[in-house]
Amino acid sequence: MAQAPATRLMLITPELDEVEAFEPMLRAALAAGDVAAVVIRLAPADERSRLARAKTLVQAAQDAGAAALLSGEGVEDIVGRSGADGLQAEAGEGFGEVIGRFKPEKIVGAVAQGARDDAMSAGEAGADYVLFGDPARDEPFAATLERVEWWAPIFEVPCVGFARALDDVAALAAADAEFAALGDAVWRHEEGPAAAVASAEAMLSLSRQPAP
Amino acid sequence: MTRALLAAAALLAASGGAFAASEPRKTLSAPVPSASDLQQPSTAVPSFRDMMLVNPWDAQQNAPTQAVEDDEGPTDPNADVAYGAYQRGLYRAAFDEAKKRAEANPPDTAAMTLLGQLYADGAGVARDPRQAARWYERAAAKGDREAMLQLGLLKLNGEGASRDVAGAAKLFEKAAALGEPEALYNLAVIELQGEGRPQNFASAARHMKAAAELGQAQAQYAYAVLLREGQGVDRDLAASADWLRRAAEQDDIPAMVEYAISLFNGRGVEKDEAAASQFFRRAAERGNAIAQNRLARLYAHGRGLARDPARAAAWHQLARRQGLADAWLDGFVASLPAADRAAADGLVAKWSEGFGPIAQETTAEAGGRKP
Repeated sequence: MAQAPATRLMLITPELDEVEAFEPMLRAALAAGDVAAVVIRLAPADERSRLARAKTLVQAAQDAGAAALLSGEGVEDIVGRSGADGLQAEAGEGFGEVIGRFKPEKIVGAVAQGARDDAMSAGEAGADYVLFGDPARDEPFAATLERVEWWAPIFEVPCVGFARALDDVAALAAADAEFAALGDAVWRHEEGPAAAVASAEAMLSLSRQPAP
Repeated sequence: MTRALLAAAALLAASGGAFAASEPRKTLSAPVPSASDLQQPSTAVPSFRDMMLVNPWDAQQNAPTQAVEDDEGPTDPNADVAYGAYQRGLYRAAFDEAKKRAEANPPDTAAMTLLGQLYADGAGVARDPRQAARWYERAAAKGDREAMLQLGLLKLNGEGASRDVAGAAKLFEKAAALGEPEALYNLAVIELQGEGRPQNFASAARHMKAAAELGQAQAQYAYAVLLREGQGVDRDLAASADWLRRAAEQDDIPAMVEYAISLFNGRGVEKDEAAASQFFRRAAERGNAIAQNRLARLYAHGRGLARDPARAAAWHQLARRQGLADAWLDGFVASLPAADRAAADGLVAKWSEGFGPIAQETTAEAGGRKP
């Protein structure tokens, strides 16, 4: 074996309070390249609306062969009914509970933007991945990369680095992140989400070392 | 932490061996003539030293200095059971103390590494490579170079973590940047073999040299081989012989044998048969079959030391026990008068009982072997 598995793409949606306009963008993005998972961020709303929005996008993700993960306050209660493959939760206090409730049936990712110890604890608790660089916060990419470079060589639990710009994907691949997550870099790309994903994908394949 | 270091030393030696042992084919088929030279000789045949240590008197004598392992751990084959039990008691105390400190707030990084070692060895706690990896991970995450090295070795061997040579190389690189000699050595070996990262002799030679300069005996030996073969570095027989000497002086057995051969042939160093015979003797006394065979020949011919047919026959017998055949010496022994052959049997018997010069040598050496 030897060669570390290649970095794959993950998409993180904006915090959504509607999905009619977004769904076609997501489908276009997913059609443009190999995307491992989509994190669907739901804005606070009544449970019915959130469930309906979740279902629409979960379907879109799964149609493209990507895992669908929910994120946002209270998603624990709709993960099951939405048909999602799992959810993403904050590392730290309470993360163990989420793990206990959803593993092993669902995928549980940890958003680890706080103390390093929180990331380690989440990994030990059984997180399927830890995410560095929360799109909801304004963290410089250099800080994200530094976390990924710290984590990737040491821990078995896969890590996701959030790329602020498309170019960041190459840096994450070089640092051996298992996943490079894209958000606004895709959704707000001037040539559209599909072109953005295709370009990120191209960057990943270029950064891949030829097998020795 | 002295105990931790001791445990670490023993573990390092064992892990290095495990690496070598786990990949014999890979190494032999590597497109590098010298790669197979880098491997420690296989110890499939029990060494003379092992034979002597079964003697209870001997074990008792060895107790205070014996370096140590558990029966089932990655063990020093020479560990004796009594002292192992004694050590086990201490390991339990070490485990409790380390656990307390590793889980304290703020946690003690060195204690985490020690916990990893105790789990890896099964010392003071049931052996559990997965737990070992977990503690190494935590300590490595806090920047502990020893933990990075050990975690890398676990990944290399697929123990407690999935086998991942590229990942191991990354960890060795991190630890190497912090000046960890064993990590430099392992990184160099990976670069020589070209598994997990592209083969790169020049970089391997640089890393090997850095480890050698930090005093790592295996690296000194390996770097000597690279210099001799001109692999990744300009060929330089004199420098090669000098690194062999330094490794040999640290009791690296393959280096002793090769340095002795260099001395005998005057290759890269001024010819000196007497000095050669002394290095052959030291390696022979540590159970190396090749050295035993060469020493027997030196005794037979009286080269580098006074001719002594009985000793020639005795050393030949010991080498043969380990499977090293030598038709010329067989003929030589057969031509000896019965008295000489009886004397040889007597010597072997005496040495085997643990009262002879070899046993003393072994006792003195057992605790002193640097990792």
